[in-house]
Amino acid sequence: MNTREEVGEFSKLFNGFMTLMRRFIFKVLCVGPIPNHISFIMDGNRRFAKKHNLQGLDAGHRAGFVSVTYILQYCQEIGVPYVTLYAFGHDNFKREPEEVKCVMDLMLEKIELTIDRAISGNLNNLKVIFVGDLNMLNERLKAAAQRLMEVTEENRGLMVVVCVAYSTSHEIVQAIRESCLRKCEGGDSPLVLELSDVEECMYTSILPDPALVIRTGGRDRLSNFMTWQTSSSLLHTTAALWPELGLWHLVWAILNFQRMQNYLQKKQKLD
Amino acid sequence: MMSLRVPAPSSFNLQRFNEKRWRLGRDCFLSFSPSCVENRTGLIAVRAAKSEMTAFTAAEEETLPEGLQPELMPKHVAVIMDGNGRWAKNQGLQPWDGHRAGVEALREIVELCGKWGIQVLTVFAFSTDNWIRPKIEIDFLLSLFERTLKSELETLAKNNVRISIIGDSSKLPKSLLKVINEVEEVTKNNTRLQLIVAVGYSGKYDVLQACRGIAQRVKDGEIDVEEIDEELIEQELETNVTVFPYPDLLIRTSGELRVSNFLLWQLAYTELFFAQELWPDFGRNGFVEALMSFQQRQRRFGGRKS
Repeated sequence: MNTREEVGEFSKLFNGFMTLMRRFIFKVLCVGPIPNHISFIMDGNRRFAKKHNLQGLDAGHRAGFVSVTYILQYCQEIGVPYVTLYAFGHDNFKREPEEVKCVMDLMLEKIELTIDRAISGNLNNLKVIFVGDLNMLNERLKAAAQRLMEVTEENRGLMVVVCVAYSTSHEIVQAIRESCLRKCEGGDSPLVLELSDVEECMYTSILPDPALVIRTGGRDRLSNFMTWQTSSSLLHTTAALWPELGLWHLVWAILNFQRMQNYLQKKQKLD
Repeated sequence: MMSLRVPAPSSFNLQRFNEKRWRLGRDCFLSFSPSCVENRTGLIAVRAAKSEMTAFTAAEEETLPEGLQPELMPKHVAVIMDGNGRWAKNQGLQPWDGHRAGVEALREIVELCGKWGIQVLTVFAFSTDNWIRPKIEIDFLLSLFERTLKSELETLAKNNVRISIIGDSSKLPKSLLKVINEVEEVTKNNTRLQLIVAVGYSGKYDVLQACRGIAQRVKDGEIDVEEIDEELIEQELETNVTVFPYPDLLIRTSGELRVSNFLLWQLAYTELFFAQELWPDFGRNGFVEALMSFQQRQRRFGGRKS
């Protein structure tokens, strides 16, 4: 029908216009320093579902996944090289088994979707890696995660680090175990253990430290997420729930980061 | 970044507040019981005179301000006392005047903790990253620390405060180490409040030294690699001097939104509070605001409250 075509045309134009506006905003943003690594603590999915009366245990998390796709797109357009997402913590296994199962199934579904997109070339050169205690995941999910990592291994675009069954305490324990194993086989020679030895054994050894941590949901805490790596990161909390996080929140967080940069650089010279 | 703060709770009685001003002249740094002093700029916050030290008694316990509930008070509060240098600059003073103002602010907070039932207070006095500062500032800070510890030892003992110092003591001067050992020994049985001062400390250093201790034990055959778990690490960390190593609340002043390598392992589920004021201005009001914010928070530790 004509009107439908017109509406279709109109939305295409509108989308095109919005994309242009967004690119323009990002170009302005890029005049200042851009964080090298942004990590997101994605809190607030269930509150979002409650707020909007959505049915289903995973409704909030599904909305959260939509938000993930947008945020990754924006980060890629801005030119941030590394993004970390705190998907599921080690301590989150304490939650109700139904909810945990729901989240795991949703993750499996989305990972398989992403694998299909990667194979068909629709993933925009994204490289995905999973960090955390993957042995805590069920077999199917673990296999899917490995597969996604393999499929995207050659990609050189934005690196997305998904933290699943992750907590810093757990990471440090296994890093200490690993470094002990490596160092204690030296026979009678004195034990020399340096910071770099421990850091090498951490899950996140291949990444630079986050420059900016964005936590949604209004809570001001780290929740055992990368407390080692974020010791000098800017902690930005926003009251918006994760599915509500949009372009302007991201722009505002980066502007704050840029504002603090001057002061931080002066301080770093002093310290 | 961090200036050295001296743990010096004096009288726990804030009713002794009077109009004595705190002297900023350099000739006064030998004594922390200021008598009447000239107020240089007229903008300096007035602090209570601390010359008479009285032992704390239950009868003097101050009731909590309105809005704060006793059962929701945090057991362990950690503080990053940031902003002395900037405060001094804003007032047109020298940096060491800012550090001294910081000491007075710390006194107030320690008193409040003692009165309001907070059991452990950890303060970030000097970080491993601060060794890069100019030598004259470092020397001043360390000697300020030493002098204040000596002069406040009696008060601490009387007020049932236990002092512990954590951090890498290898770079500290011998005289300071001697005073530290003495203060820790004399106050080790006190129970009202435990004041932990982090000097030459950083979270990564703490985990690394725990790691070294554990690795040595593994090498000596005392423990197996598989036995390494979170509890073992907790025991090896320097915060094993207290039964509550995990802060419930971390307060950072001066508006900086970072943790700056303070208490890494222990901050896993700590509620963070960032105050805009500079440390010397962060007094009772700021502290009450932080506590109120803490009491309103819902802590889940990864789980879910249905």
